[in-house]
Amino acid sequence: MRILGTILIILSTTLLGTYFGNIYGFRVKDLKEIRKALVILKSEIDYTQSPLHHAAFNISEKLSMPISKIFKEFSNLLKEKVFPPIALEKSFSKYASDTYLTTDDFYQLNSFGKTLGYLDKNLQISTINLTISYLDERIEEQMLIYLKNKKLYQTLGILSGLLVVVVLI
Amino acid sequence: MDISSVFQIATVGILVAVLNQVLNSVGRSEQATMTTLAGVVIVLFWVIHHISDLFSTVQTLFQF
Repeated sequence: MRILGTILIILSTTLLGTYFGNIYGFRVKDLKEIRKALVILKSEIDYTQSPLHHAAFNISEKLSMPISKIFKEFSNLLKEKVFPPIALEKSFSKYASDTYLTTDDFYQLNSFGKTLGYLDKNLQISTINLTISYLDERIEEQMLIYLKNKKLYQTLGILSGLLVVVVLI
Repeated sequence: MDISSVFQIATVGILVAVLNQVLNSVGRSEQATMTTLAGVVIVLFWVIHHISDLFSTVQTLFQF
């Protein structure tokens, strides 16, 4: 019984440590997905020149879960003739809690959304490039934090589990 | 006093030392200090009645 409890405590704290270490990794993953979405959107605007709802649907097909839902919602709202910036803002706010992005990221992405469907192709592409460079900066920054914290939290998880076990025995 | 409690204290000492090293290596010296302090407090809780025993023994030694 005692051994079972010991194993349970160490296992749970190790898992907690791994989870907290990976939170930064999830954020990096989400940022990369958004970046991928913007790159696809850029090529859709530049080469295929497909309508925005069609482009958004294509993006949602190519991405993985939380971010793909955002673009699917965006595409659906556009089909209902919602104004693009408002549609983007609505779809971001609907699924914001599913992602690990911060309000700062959403602010930047919404300010990119304000230029969607406004003026010519060049303006769209240059704002997309601007947002991509912002995301690149964030990804690089978060990657450093992630690498630094991952090992720390894992070690902390295992060691705190051992400490609790030793104190309780 | 049981020998197992000595080993227990030693294990806590080792774990706290490793935690201290890990936290210091990533530049979180504040948390490292707090961890060390927590370790000291835990061990103190274990040994406080042994210490009080020791003091009362010494006290009885000097009472004629």
